[in-house]
Amino acid sequence: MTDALLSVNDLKMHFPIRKGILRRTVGYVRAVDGVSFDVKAGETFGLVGESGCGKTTTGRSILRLIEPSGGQVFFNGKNVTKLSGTEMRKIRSEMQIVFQDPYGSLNPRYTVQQTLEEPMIIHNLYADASERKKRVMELLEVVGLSTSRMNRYPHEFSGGQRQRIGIARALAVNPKLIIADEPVSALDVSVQSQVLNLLDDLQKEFHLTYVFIAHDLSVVKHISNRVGVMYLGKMVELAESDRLYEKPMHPYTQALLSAVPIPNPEAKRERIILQGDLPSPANPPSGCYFHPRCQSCMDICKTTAPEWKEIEPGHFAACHLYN
Amino acid sequence: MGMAEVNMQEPETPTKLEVQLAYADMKESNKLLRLLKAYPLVLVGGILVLALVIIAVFAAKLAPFNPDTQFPNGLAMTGAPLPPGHVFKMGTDDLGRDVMSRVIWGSQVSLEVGLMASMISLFIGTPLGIISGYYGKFVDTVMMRITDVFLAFPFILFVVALVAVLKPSVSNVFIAIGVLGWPLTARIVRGQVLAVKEFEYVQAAKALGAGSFRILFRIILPNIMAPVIVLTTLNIGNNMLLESVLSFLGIGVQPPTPSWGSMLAEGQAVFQYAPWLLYYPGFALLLAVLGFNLLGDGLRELFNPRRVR
Amino acid sequence: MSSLLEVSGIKTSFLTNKGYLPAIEDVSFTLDKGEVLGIVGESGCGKSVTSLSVMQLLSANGKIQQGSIRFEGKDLVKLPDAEMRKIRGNDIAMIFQEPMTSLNPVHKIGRQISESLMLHKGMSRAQARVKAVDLLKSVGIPRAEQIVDEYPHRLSGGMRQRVMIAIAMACDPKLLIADEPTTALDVTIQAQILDLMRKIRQEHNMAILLITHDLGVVAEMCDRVVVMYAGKVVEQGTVKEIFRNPSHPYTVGLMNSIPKLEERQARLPSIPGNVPSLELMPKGCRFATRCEFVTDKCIQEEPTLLPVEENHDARCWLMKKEEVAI
Ligand SMILES: Nc1ncnc2c1ncn2[C@@H]1O[C@H](COP(=O)(O)OP(=O)(O)OP(=O)(O)O)[C@@H](O)[C@H]1O
Ligand SMILES: Nc1ncnc2c1ncn2[C@@H]1O[C@H](COP(=O)(O)OP(=O)(O)OP(=O)(O)O)[C@@H](O)[C@H]1O
Ligand code: SF4
Ligand code: SF4
Ligand SMILES: [Mg+2]
Ligand SMILES: [Mg+2]
Repeated sequence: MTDALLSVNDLKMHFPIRKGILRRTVGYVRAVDGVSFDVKAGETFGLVGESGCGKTTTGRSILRLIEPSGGQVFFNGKNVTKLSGTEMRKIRSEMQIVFQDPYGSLNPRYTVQQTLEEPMIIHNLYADASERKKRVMELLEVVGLSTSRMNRYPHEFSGGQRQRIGIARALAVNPKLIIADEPVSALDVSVQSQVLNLLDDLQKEFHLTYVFIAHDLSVVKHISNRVGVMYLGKMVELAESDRLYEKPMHPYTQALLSAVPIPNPEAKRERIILQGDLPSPANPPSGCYFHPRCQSCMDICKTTAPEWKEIEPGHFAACHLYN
Repeated sequence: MGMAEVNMQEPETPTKLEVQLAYADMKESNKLLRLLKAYPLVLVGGILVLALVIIAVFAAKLAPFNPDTQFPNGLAMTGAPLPPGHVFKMGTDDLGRDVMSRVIWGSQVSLEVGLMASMISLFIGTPLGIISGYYGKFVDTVMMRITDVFLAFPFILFVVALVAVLKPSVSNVFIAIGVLGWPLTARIVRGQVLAVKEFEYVQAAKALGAGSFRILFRIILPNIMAPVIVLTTLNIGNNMLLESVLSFLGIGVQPPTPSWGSMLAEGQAVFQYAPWLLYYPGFALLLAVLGFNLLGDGLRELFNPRRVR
Repeated sequence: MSSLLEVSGIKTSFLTNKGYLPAIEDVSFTLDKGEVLGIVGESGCGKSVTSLSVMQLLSANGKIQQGSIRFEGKDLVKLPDAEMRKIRGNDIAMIFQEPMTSLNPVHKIGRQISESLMLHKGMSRAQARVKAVDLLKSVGIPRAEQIVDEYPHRLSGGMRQRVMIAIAMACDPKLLIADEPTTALDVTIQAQILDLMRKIRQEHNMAILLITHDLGVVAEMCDRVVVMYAGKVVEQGTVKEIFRNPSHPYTVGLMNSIPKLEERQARLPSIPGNVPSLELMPKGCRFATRCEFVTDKCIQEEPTLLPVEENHDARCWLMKKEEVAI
């Protein structure tokens, strides 16, 4: 695809498991095991899946916060995985990240002003302190925080306000792409919607592209244009978000969607209750990784991994049911 | 990216009406007062340390006599040391020197060795601990095995050997103690770095393109200072104790320089008939070490956000 | 008919550096036999403090300053410790949010289940073990005979929460208090646990006090619901009533601000601002700083729970019909 701002191709991240005094590698945690997707400029690409399926690892290896063990990441046509240290540092101003934990993601020893100035100092963005300060005030205004509190420390702010500070920090370097790793998961419902709206507004205002990671399917559906569903380090389905929610193809997506409690006591639904637990990515099942829990499991599923295929235009899935 | 004038966000509060507070009369008490209330012994520690520092600094003014002068009237007719009395408040030793003046001057040696040795451990241990914790992998494994060896080694014997080679003197004593004390500092620093490194704000700095130097010294270091300060405070007390042990064994500070350890060693021989030669330097040592330990514990409470409420 | 649990007007405070500050105030509700009552509200609104007050398990710096908690007619607040211990784990059982930390890591699963059976039911070790295996089977744990001899760290989060439920069910309690039992779990595992709780409730006709911040879980599980905001009950009623006709502006805002799976919304309605901290708690209506309908009266005087319909109340001046008319 040519119009893709970000293109992830067969990304792999296998963490070695080491044992003993000699720290020999005895196996691998296949946290991300061959994930591919494209993100178009200006769109929001959602990434959902249950805890431990590799969403965070995917996000961080795209930014090379951890070095991926395989695959390529193209950003604006450049192969990010091949860049040298200095080139990488430069490109970081175009790709930013917003973290899940509004408490852990801000340095407790920096004031809000220092936190927001840091990216400017690293990238030599403004010549003098007064210009930086002006920019800090602009940024605070953009994320809806009062500038009167810029000399305060993070612990004096609520979770939602901290998340706004984290977003302002990401915006400070004028990025094109923001990877938002569960930016609202730690927030209360009433504050969550404020932050979602903010992200929405900022996208329109500054033509941002988002990769939005979350485990809450309603939130992902709300904010994303297209959604990818991950299971045990692999992408199992990818489609336009409305499409995915109306006509999920992969049995895992179907189960996931039906498991979401609907806030309407009068709604009656068919519910698929999956048996068993999520297997460990250190020791995934044979064939289709989902087969021990799948209700449509066939013989071939136990031995052969299904192919990643475009089943309908723009709707991808990896499942033998669609062969 | 130009900043538009529009304010797209919800205002922080919709109402500008004056709101009265439900619990307006509640006032927060001072953090230091709360610490003192929760942990009153820190005050004792602080006073003891302060007193030690004052005594050491003003030893020349505070000591009634020259500590090295062997007073002819400092010995009884029999040649025995004098018990505490009018002239010699803490008595004299078997050479007729004033014990009080020697205890006062001894504080200088104790403090100097305690401080300097801790600083040396700090300056060697901190960077090594940071590097070990931050880079991990091979560097970390090697470093940790080295500290293992150091920590498993009979520490005191090593110091004895080292000082013997270097010739006993105040500076050699604190160098030996300091150099051999770094593994503990390095280990504690490494542990802190490992914890802090996992925080997302460190990842955020990396994502912003910050280099290793900036991450290590501008971001990680300030966040591990609190436990390092606590550790150093506790170390000062321990190192003072070590100095006494070395001097007691005769390989520390050499006579005639007064040191509590050597005073204890000298006093031991005549303990039967002149017990005050042990009591006063021993008591001084006890108070000084106790002071640093209480202060260190208090600081730990102060830096622990969950404890001081 | 008198209710199984009757909480009336409790105020629980914690000793802070500013003296005793109330975490919850004037909290009242009732729970009948076999009923599921939900308590919803945002983080810090006092849901856990409410449940811990009922269990008399507040930390040392907390105390119930006012009100009564009647369980089968006995006031738990006045009950001596020894009496309360007999009720805890026997008549009232509790499961917590964090399945990782609420099991003792150094004891085998079987022993943790047997403990309360031996204590409250006077069973022998062997009897208790047989019962423990049965309980594990009843909460859907595969290989129950082996799992009784495992340590908790060998189990996944969902399995541990099942074990917690098995422990809670051991003495066939009349009331189960579940404090965010599924918050730490994944959606598909949450569905399993909720399903299990529904089944148990039917089989044992047990009352459940279900604490959660997820309105979806409330809609699916509860008969009645209490909405809390900043330490107070702001609305209560049957689940159907509350979802059909939410009346307190906070409840309305909360419901609107959740993204819906079934429909696409251009923009989410949201409640502005944050929950005020205790230092900044307004004297009148606690929601006044964020409410779009705020009037002078709201700021001056705190509303009481006013009836909306039968069995449906809201703590808001808008419910006084004559006020609206002006
Ligand atoms: N540094 C690491 N070393 C070894 N294993 C790791 C490491 N980081 C993550 N993992 C493993 O990789 C898998 C994927 O983790 P990841 O954090 O990407 O999941 P996630 O989808 O973000 O989950 P969550 O919803 O809980 O955040 C997990 O099994 C995790 O234990
Ligand atoms: N042991 C304690 N000491 C002091 N204050 C406490 C204590 N426990 C709770 N509080 C305070 O009481 C208030 C209510 O807390 P509670 O735990 O009930 O909230 P919650 O509704 O359960 O929130 P969450 O959804 O986060 O679990 C909070 O403001 C909290 O700070
Ligand atoms: S490939 Fe087979 S086991 Fe896997 S999801 Fe499809 S039907 Fe189920
Ligand atoms: S009492 Fe007033 S401020 Fe409070 S919720 Fe009702 S209308 Fe809003
Ligand atoms: Mg994650
Ligand atoms: Mg709680």
